[in-house]
Amino acid sequence: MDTIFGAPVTSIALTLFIIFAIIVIFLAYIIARNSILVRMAFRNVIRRPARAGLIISGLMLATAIISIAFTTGDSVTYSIKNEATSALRELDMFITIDEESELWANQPLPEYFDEKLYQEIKAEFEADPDVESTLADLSKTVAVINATRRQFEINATMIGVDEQNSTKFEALYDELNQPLEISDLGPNEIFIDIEGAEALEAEVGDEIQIALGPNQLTPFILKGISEGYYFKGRGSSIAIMMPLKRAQDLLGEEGFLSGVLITNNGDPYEGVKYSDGIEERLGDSEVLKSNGLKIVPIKADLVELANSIGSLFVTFFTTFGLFSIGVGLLLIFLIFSMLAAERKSEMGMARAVGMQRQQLIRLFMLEGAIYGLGSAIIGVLAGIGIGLLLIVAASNIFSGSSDDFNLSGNVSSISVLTSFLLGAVITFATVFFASWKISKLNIVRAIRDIPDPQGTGRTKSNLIWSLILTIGGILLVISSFSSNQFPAFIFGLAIIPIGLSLFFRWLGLSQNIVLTGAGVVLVVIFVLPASIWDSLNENWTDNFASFFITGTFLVTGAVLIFMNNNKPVLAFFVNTLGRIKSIAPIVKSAVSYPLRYGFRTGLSVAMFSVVIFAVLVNSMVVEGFNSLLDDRERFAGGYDTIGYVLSDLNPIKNIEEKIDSTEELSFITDVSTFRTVSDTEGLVVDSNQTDFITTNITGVDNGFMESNKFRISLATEKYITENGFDSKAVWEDLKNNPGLAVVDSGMIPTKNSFAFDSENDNLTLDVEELFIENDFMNEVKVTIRDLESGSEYEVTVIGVLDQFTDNGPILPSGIFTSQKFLFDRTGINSDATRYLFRVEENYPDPSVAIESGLFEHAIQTLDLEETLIELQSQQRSFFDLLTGFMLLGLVVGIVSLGVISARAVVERRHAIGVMRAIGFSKRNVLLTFIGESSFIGIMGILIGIILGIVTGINVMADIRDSADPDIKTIIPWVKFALIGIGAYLMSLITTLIPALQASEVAPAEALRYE
Amino acid sequence: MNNQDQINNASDAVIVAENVTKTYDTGRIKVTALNDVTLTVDRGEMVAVMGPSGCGKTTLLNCLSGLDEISSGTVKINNTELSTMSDKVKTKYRAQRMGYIFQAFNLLPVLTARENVEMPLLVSGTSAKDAKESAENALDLVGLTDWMEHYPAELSGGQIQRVTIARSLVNTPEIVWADEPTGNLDSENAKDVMKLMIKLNSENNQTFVIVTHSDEVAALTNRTIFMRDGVIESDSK
Repeated sequence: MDTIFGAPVTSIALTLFIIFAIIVIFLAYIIARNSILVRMAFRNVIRRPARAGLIISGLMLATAIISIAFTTGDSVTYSIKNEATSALRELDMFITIDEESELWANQPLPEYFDEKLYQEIKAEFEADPDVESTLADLSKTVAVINATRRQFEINATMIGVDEQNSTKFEALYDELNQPLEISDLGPNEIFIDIEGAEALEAEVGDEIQIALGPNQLTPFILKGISEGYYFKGRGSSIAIMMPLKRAQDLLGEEGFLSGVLITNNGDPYEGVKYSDGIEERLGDSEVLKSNGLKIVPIKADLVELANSIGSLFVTFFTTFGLFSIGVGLLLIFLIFSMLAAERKSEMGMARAVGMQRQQLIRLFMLEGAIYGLGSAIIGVLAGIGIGLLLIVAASNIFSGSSDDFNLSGNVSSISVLTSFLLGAVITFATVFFASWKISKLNIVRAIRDIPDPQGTGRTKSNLIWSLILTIGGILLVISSFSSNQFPAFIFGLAIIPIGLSLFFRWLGLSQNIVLTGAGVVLVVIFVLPASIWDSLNENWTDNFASFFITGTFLVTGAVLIFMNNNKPVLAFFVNTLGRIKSIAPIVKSAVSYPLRYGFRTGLSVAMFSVVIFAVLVNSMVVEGFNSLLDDRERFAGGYDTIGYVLSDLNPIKNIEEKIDSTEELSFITDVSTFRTVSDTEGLVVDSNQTDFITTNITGVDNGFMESNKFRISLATEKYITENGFDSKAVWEDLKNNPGLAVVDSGMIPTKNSFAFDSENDNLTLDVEELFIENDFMNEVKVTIRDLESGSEYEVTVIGVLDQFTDNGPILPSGIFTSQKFLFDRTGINSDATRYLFRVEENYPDPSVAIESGLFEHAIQTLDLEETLIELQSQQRSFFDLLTGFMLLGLVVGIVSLGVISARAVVERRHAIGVMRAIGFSKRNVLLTFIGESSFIGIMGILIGIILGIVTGINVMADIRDSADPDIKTIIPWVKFALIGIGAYLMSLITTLIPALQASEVAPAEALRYE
Repeated sequence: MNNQDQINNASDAVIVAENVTKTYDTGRIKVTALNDVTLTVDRGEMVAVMGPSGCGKTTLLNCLSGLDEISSGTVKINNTELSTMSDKVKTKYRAQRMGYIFQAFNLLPVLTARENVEMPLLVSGTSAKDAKESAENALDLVGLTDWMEHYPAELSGGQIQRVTIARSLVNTPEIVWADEPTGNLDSENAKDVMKLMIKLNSENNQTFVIVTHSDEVAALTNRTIFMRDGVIESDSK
């Protein structure tokens, strides 16, 4: 990965390193000046090893989440790079026709170029110090049969290469390590690479037939099976190699090349680093420019793609881990607050005998630094471990969908360093803040361990913060209306009540009242349906930040209400569970203690709630979208099988005739044809766009427009009906009015960026006020330039395809118009690129039968029913994996309960003695402590579940209104129950040991403890 | 038969300790806190245990009340030897038939005065309604009717100690163990607390064992045991 969140990884690492170095220098200064503080800090850490372990495991979580994100990103990057490098082998770049060259402006785009240019290209390129060798080639995708073994494959790359240079480019060897020379091949002999031979079950001497045209199977003898190959087309599993002249003869392209392959110096992994330099030096060379050619740095492009997908994964996992990172930081704060509470008397004593407040801060900083450093190291290692496990799980999930791609674990040193530095810096920052906060103590109260008085709240800091938050919130809200940023709006809205509550506190109102008020306002703000905010501004743009803000403030509000109204809560428990005689005293103590220690209880409840909240909302959204796949007709448009045309060597001139004349295809009841032209550019009329941008245009046949069930999700006003848009009418108009078009939803800007889209280099309809979320659209005119014919024409976009459909494998991206119109404007009756089939009901394996029946035309098929099922299962598994990742945040809540329980045993030793003295049995004490953590855990889980469901229902209603009226609100109760019960049981494990310790406290000994 | 009837009908010797020794083993050193102590306390007696710091007063109280285990010897309460009781039985015995008053930190800070007093009743299985009623009566008896819904942090030292007394008496225990009950109180409050205990002692014939440093407190009891270095130096009625 090169970048994260758009910033270069090396810059991030360097910045973090500088901050880390400053921290280390500062700590070194403290150590040098205060050796007694160092001793105290170390002894405090080792005083209770078990507790130190618990603290480190809690502190490490934020770092671990970051490290997991980096590990997944690295692994994905590595896997793609690895696959690209091993598939391309020695090939780093190639030279081919430049579709955008002005040479082809007014003439058809050629497919090949003159072989004579090769010598000139070779001389120029091989003179470059970083180029190792070049190789002239002519390649084509073909269907191939092993006549000897009766096996066929439809996606094979036939490649003819210049035999004089082939060995210099890549030496081929057979399985016995004997060299294979292209020049040794006879006129009817070929080599096939080892994977291709396996696919065809071929052995040396077999008869291999290549399908080159209608009923035109050319037989060859397989002379050798090679360990390597020069080049394979996309998705191709077979490389059939022969001399250039033979390929030119076969294809009827004597004297022409399709490309020149280039290999850089160094091995296949190293060579790619020279591509940029070579392209810079030779990309504009005369021989290329004057002949309409260009360099394609294919390996470097794939490496770049790998980097951007890896970065996307880091962004994805970091974003979904935000709640966990947030609660991880809360835990750090909680732990240090509790350490301070535990040592309050000691600290008071230290201050009384002359220790300065600064020294106290430094003492905690040093102790925190020891914990922070330890936890950052362990966190990084744990993150790598969990990240690799996630990769293994993801690899299993997707193993069925791609035969070629293997996801394998990898971690780069820069990622390890960055996640360590990031984890260490945020841990140190939180520790430093906590140290500063807890050093503010009253010496007498600290020595006597008396709780701090609540105070009147009329403090300067309350007034200042109230003004900052209230005014800041108001300004944010106001500015959000001009920037249209919804996250800024709700953040501003959320901090206003908090600011006001501080102001009312400053005025002298009771803390309980003002915080309850703030809590109620926050809950109301965030449970209101989105439509209310949409009515204030129709142009909000939104992203994942608003989900994070919603979760944070909604949970904060609920916890504020809960913690500041402890009397009704206590009364509820006492009057319900407390009525059971045998557990009445346990219930009373178990509920009273947590409610009394509001700060730590509130934080722990919030930790549980926020993670459960995030997981539940996410689950409901995922379930909702997954359920859409149940609508087979909507996804597949009423078709059963799709056929992709892989080669233009043997196009089907009339598919209906072909089906009628082929008995084994008689089960096909209907077929529609797509003709997609990729050598196309578009310019949106009346927009800010100045240059033509690459796009696809697909001509669809009348049958498709008459009978497809694909939906239109946005269209012009005339198609609005009570239930969305009249899709049938749109398709009908497309058929009857040449020049009208619909586009895929990816071409329309969106207000929401929840989908983590990578950058789009293709044409989009960037017209003012046009968003996919609009109620309707105005017609958009697009000028299309057909690169093959050189013609220009205009289409009028009247609708946008269903977002749900065009994310799938069925429809190509780009613009859709009628085939007749396309033919009229370009004059090119291009061959079909895709077929959509309907077949007899319950016909077994139709896609295999179609592939077989249309074998010589190289049609690859996809069974849409099977695809849907696989897609659904993959989606579910992937999101289960994501849920598991998000649930890691619960570890924080669980650890916090462990820390609280451990602290409670120490803190309440005397009280335990009193309890035992007045008749609490060991079991009662045990149950009281378990009850306390259960109370916190269950409250957190319940608040999380309630808020999660309410928000989930709101989110789904919003999606229904703005994106998809068919999406259902599904509450996966079983999953929720499992998560809730699992989280509770896990929390019991960490509290069981402290609770057992409490129950074993000897009463007389405890009573001596003060 | 309730606790009060049992108190009235039982034999005279309520606490009998014979050759009680208590040794603390810290791993590095052994400390003998009680050394061969023999002692009998009759029903209805109000006994003060005095002595310098570290002489073993609190250890004696803890060992006699069953809060702590003894190293050797026997302790009988109402003719039942404590060492024969399981922890469960001892706990139940404490909840139903003993009351405790300590110097400080003796109320559960998260419970109100009333809830603190209710606790011994609830743990011994009294219904919530009855426990509440008894707690209110006990607090009334110690003059804290108006303070029963307050938390310990909101009460004065004297009030806290009166709540503790109410709690120790709410289940009408046979024996009340008090460890420095006036230790944290000013002289006025100390006097009030002692008067209250004397009143209860005389009205209910309950036995009080009070560990104290205060000569004034000891003077108000009817027997003073003086300890030094883990042994009873004097025992005067």
